[in-house]
Amino acid sequence: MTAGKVILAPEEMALPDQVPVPRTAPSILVVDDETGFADTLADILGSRGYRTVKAGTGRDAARLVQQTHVDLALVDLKLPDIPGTDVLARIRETSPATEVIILTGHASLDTALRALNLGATGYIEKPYDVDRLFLVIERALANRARRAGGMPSAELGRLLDASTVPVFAFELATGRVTAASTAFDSLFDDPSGGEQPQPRPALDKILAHADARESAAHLARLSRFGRAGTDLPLQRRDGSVVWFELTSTTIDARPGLALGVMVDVTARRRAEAESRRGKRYFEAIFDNLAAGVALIDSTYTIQRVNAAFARFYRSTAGALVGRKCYEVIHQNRTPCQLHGEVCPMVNCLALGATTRVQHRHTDSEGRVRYQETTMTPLRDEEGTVVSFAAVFADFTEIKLAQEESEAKSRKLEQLNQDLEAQSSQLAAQAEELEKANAELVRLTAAKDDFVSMVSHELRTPLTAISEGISLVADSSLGPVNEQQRRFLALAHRNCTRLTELINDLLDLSKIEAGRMDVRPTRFELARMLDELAETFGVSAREKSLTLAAPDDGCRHYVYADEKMVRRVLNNLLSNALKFTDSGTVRITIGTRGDHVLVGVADSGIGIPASDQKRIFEKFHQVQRTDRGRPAGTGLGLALTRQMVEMNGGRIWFESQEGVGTTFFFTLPLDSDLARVSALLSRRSAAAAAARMRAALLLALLDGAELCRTRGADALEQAADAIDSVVNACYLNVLTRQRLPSSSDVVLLLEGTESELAVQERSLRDKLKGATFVLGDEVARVRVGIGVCRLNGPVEPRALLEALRREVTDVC
Amino acid sequence: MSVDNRPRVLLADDERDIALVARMRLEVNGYDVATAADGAEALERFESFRPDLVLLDLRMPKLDGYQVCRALKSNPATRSVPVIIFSASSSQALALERKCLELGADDFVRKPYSSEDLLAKVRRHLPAGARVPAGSCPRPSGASS
Repeated sequence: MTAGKVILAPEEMALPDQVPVPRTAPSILVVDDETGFADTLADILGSRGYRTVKAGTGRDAARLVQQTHVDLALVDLKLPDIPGTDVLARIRETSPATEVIILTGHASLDTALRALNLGATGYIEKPYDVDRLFLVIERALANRARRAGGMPSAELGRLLDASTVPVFAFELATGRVTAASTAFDSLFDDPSGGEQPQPRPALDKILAHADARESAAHLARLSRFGRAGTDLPLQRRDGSVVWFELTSTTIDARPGLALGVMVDVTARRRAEAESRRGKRYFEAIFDNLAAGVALIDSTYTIQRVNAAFARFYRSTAGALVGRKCYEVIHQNRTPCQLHGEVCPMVNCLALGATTRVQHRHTDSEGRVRYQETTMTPLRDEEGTVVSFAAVFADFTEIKLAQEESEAKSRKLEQLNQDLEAQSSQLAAQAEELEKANAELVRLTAAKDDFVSMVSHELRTPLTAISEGISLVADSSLGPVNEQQRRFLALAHRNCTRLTELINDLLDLSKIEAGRMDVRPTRFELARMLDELAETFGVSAREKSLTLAAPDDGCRHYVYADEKMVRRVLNNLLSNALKFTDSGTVRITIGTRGDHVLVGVADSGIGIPASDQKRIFEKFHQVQRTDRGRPAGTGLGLALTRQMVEMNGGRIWFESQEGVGTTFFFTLPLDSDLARVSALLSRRSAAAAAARMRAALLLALLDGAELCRTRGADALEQAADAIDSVVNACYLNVLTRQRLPSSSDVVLLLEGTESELAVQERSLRDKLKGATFVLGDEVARVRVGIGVCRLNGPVEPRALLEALRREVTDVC
Repeated sequence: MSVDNRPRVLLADDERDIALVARMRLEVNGYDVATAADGAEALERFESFRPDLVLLDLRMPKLDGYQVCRALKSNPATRSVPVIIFSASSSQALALERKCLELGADDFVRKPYSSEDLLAKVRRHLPAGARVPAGSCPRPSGASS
């Protein structure tokens, strides 16, 4: 109750003239145990023309209602015997037409509301306001009259008939429709169109188009407030649904009667549905947008955010709404300025248009973020900007990628510059190298010239000295006495020694430069030994030494450079004779595996242990105790070892001072394998000296001796073109180590081994690209890789001609 | 010294000592020897001496052995006289010798030479009428002096 209202005390009461007095006098029962209050109330009611009855207890009240006609009962909730609600229930039970109004103190307002639910028409709080008292009483009495019901007047009927909208009058108590407009009747016309006019549907039937709960609520609202509205979907004959809003309202002039008006609201409901759908769409889009969106009002308060926004700030929508945007986004305590730029919101407000700003900032966790904010003003109906929709697009990833890309491109540019610098540096170096190379070529040529000069300039005077001495010594120029002859011999011997020294030096330098060619051939070692034994026999006899050559039975064919082997033996034998004063120099020969083993043993002075390790070194000479012995060049053994090893052999010695020395060396026995090995070592040696020949010719022969001798001899005549003649069965060995290249020529002669060799798949793949010369027999084998065939049996001449044809291309 | 029937050999070598010992070796073996110290002199001496055989060093001043050889072998009047190249062996000399062979040189004696090799080759290439009878090696008249 408000303070402005006048609380009437009984002595101040005055009857307002303007309040109409009811034409009939309804009887009102006042039920209250406070007699003073009840009397005053009865007086007030009486002054308005109401008849009043009083009751002090609940039971009295119930009894009075039963005994007399009571239109309205004013029941206090607090009674001495039973609660007012009980009295209400009894009245409802025994006299349903009696309206009940509850009187209640402030504290029991809740109870009063409950009483309404039990069927009370209204309530009045104590202390009461007179205006409200009469308002409530009159409404209750009107209600009672309505509930009493009645037919509408003729005017109402005419009014309804004239209406173009569905309007109808119905009885409040029963819901029976007593009058209706044509529009109403056509709305509920029987679809079957039968001749019998159908009775109009009652209100409950009409309300049945809504759900049951809404129907009940409609009726409750109508009875309590005199007005109710409900939307009803009505199906038309064509099946379409039309929504009508049914507004029911009581008619004050005709208690018990109510009016229903139905308005087509289909369009409105459609718009509403549209709007709801739009809202749902908006919300779905809003919430699922990858960009963060916030609605911010003009006080910088966040009103709504979507999920992306909340996620970005590691928060929830609930926690963000209500906070200030500058706190959440920029950790500022006041509206912010962004790197000299005004906050987009300020711009947005000033321009009244969408504003877009890119900015960089550090978030609460210290991460650097790049964002683009698009701010759009939102206006109310009058066009005033009331809030802002801010869309935050985070482009940190893009920015970082861009920065990385820029950094990379800068790095690349730098790299490019570096490369260019390096390139020019390399060019300079290349130029220098070229110069150095030219210089090297010049020096090499100079060295060759020098070697040539040495060979010429040293030998020429030696020739003159040597010839001059021998002309005198052999008495060509007249008689020479013995003493003169001895000294001339001494001079001549030293000339020879000097010549050998020069030859050894030149040979060694050739070998070291990789320019000494090894030309192995097959020869009989014993025959060479016999020849040498004969030659050295002379000087052996001069020293009274025995030179023992091997037995005639030892016939071994070796595969080596004959000239080199001769020099090796020469060196070893002359050394042996030089250092032996008495006894024997013995040559032995035997085999060791696939090598021949040659021994040159003397009974000489031996090599001191201290010298043994260095005996093969250049210019190493054993320190002599005896002075009479002619000195060596110091190069002989170094050269000897080189030549043995170049021929695939080894050299070593056994020596004991005062007892003698034995030098051993090995040479490969002539075999196909030896030939392959020699070929391979020569190849690698040649390669090392960078003098690889362009073409390789392999002549592969089968085992037949006839074929071997005829073919091999013929082939060896083509000396320069042929590297090796081997048995076809070693082709495997060869290809495993070194394959013929496309410029190579492989000669296959007749025989089963050749056939097998080329038929072997792995070999054929390896040999692809090589040129083949096939013997006639092999031609029958479908090898598919031969390019040239020899006709008839293998004749040396035909073979060579075929070879020349093939080899000229590559040699 | 009166004109005799000894075979005449022209020896062209700028190395005077070599020329001297070679001349002596030939003379003690029955040859009449004239020497020249360069190519130009060799051609002059050829005209006056009319040798049966020419021993030609390759490296000489003025005209080298190669040029002298070409001159002799391209002239029909002198073509039949045998020419033996008398040269120190070296790889370059070998190439020159090949050239000389192409021009018609008859043989080589490589320095340092053995007297046997020199005498054998000279004997082989001398025309039949100019040969020293085998086995008779008359002492040069000056040898005993």
